[in-house]
Amino acid sequence: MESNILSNEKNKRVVLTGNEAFIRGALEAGVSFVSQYPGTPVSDVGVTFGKLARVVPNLYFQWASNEATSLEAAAGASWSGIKALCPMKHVGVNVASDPMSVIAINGPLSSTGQGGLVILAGGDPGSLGSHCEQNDRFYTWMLHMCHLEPSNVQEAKDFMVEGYKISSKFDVITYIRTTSRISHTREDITLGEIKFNQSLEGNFERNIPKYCSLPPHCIENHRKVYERMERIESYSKKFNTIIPGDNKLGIITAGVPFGYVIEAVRKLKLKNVPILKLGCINPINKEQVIKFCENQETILIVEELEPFIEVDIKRIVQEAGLSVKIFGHEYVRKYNELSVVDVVQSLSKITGVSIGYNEQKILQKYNKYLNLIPPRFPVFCAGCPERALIYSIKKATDEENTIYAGDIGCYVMSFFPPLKITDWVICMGGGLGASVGAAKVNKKPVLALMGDSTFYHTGLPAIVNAVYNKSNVLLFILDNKWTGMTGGHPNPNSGINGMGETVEKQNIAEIVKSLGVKWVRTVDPYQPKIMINTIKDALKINGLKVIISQRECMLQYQKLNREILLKSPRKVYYWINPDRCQMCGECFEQLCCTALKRTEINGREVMQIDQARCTNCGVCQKICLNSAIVKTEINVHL
Amino acid sequence: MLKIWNGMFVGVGGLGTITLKRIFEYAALKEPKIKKIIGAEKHGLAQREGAVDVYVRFLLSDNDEVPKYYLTSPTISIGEADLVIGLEPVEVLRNSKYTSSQTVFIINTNTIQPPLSISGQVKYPSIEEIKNAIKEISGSSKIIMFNATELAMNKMGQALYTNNIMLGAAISTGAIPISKEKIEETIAEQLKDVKKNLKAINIGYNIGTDLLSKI
Ligand SMILES: Cc1ncc(C[n+]2csc(CCOP(=O)(O)OP(=O)(O)O)c2C)c(N)n1
Ligand code: SF4
Ligand code: SF4
Repeated sequence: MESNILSNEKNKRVVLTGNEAFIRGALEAGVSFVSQYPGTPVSDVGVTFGKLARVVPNLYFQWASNEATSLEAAAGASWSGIKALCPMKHVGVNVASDPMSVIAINGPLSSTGQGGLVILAGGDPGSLGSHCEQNDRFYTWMLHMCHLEPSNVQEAKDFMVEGYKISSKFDVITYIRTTSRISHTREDITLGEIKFNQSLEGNFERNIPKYCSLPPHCIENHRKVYERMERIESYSKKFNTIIPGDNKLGIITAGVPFGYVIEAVRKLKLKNVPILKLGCINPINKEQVIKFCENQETILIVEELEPFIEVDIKRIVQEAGLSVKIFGHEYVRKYNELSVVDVVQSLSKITGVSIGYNEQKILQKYNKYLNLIPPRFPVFCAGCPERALIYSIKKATDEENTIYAGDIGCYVMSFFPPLKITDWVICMGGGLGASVGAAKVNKKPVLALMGDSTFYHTGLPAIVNAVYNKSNVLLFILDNKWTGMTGGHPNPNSGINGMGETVEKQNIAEIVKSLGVKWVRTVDPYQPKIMINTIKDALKINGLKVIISQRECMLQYQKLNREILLKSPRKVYYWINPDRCQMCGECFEQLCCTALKRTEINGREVMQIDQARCTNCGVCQKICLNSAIVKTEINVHL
Repeated sequence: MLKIWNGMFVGVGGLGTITLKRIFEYAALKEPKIKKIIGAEKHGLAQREGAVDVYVRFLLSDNDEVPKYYLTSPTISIGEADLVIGLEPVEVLRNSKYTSSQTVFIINTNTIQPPLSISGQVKYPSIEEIKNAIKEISGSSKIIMFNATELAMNKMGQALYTNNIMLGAAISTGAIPISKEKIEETIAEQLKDVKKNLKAINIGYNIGTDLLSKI
């Protein structure tokens, strides 16, 4: 489908996703250095920049090994006078927070005031594509970053352009926070102009007090950042919008909840409710807040997750000595994403205006049928090598007496029923990390999972720690060549980088051995028998053992080889002979491939393979206890 | 007069829900009375065969001047859907609280069983049960259900054309505020295999017309 990201047609009305609008804004602002580690809801930003970097002159994109190295690289470019962008998901901000704390305070510009640095942070209230829910907003307060939050796709583009202006003018990091509902919403917007005058020629000049963070400079730089933030406060007014009204109840909101507020107020037929929509939530412009609150009796703050705006507004109002009552979390819940319906409920509670009868009736009827709806969790793709590994792990170990440490990657899905063999999920690299402690104090064997992208991201220090402290853990490194879960992005194991250049793979087995792991085996998970035996052997040995489960991600394999697969004269089919299928459960309970389907044939329930979805991995055939699964090869004459 | 039109497209990751949604948006750009377009998509985890619900919302007006902040939410509320295209039947039921007696439904009866149904722990309801539940919750009589996947396989040789068959059926109900011509024009601009895709639209249009006349 057509994409309008590079169009320079004046006043053209285009439909873009929030993420595309951020990219467009960054290009209009003249960004030339983009560095990212993938993570929902901003993964596709990097994918698009990777493509653009091959056609836009002097635009550079890199997939970094993690968010900290990503931000550090962006800072190195910006200190040299090059405009840099660093997208990351909310938990990525945790990983990047250490370098962020220094870069933000010292300032991202070059010694001569060139450059500019924007962090595009992807929040995810409701955890629509994340392993946890957290409010990353507080970092901007702690680290003195200018914090913009667009409420719609047009603002996503506009705030990006403005964000660079702020970063360049005030020598601060601009933190543009999106959420899934901005990043993945499409809207019609109008574009500005891209000048295509990017440059990758920087000039770093030594400036010890600015760039070397140690006393006395770190204290002086800390003092100075307060000054810069104070100046931004008056500048930030222009990001805020006031919708006037004479209702005694006023609303202050920001980001996507603003959209919910507008429709909720209309649904409840509330008249003339004044609304202050904040575009810049750190620093918040005091003057505007005071003016807005002065004439109100009550203010409701509508925001998602922990009260961030609320705390600051309450402070401002208290310092100004106003008598207005400020409410927020008392009426708006502090977890999960909001919706128009939630805001309607909050407003209904605070105003006493009741919710429509029709809606209540629909909900009542809907709730009656809830138990008819089977839950649908995300699952491994048909033919996924990781599912095949999980099958072998289950077969080789005693589930009741084994500890299984999970981690973040597609394999995280192994905690869902019916597989259910992940005992904890913390953060990337955290699975093995916690295994070190668990293995020390438990008699049961401890197994840990780690994907290849996770290995380079934060897995390496955990391995070093486990070897150094003689941990008795069996670690599986799931070498599927790509960063699977976020959408098949390249990593140091892929042989290709963000610019599309061929690079040498950073060999996992060699790295692990060089870190001091003595027992390392590489096994194909599509060979369950060999895998099961290898696991059993490994468990007889003390110390850290590593099994590299090596097989390319099936989704990527299919994507990259689509043409070849379609044209192949030789077709392979796996199918289930209904007369032999005994419904034993080996394929549908133990392996649980999604290409299997329960079907009735001649009045008997049997399993069948959905040919449209089967990817011919062959694993189910290898494990069937009744030899019911048959492989047929035919030669198609093209 | 200002009017908001809400489309809800539901299915399972990988079924092409988002592509279908985007056809609506590109076509809407051609329709002068549609002044604003907004709609949430679902990416990420949902791709792993998870439940997918996406929305397309239009602000319709005969007047060029529309308020800046009127259609502002990327998702819809209880009972607001004007059109539901369900690429998987249980997913329609899962999202049926967004429908009402005004809603027109086009539902593919081809099922995709979730893992717990494959493993036999949770029963997948029958098409009859699904239909009755949707009927009662929404109160709508315009529920068109047929196996579009089978139709695509039989008539076009590939499941790939399923969604455009569904789209064709949706057009036939008159529930989309964009003309058939403009949608076809959009398909010609945005998709490959234009001839086959337009054929799929017409197959859907005919079956939609036929099924609608039997309600
Ligand atoms: C700090 C952090 N950054 C990014 C993510 C997003 N994320 C979730 S899974 C994943 C990919 C892990 O890839 P890999 O370890 O190779 O496993 P695979 O999905 O390929 O099995 C990423 C980047 C995250 N959860 N945490
Ligand atoms: S994306 Fe790849 S690794 Fe992830 S579930 Fe699918 S096949 Fe498995
Ligand atoms: S061969 Fe068997 S296990 Fe592999 S994708 Fe097909 S049905 Fe699934």
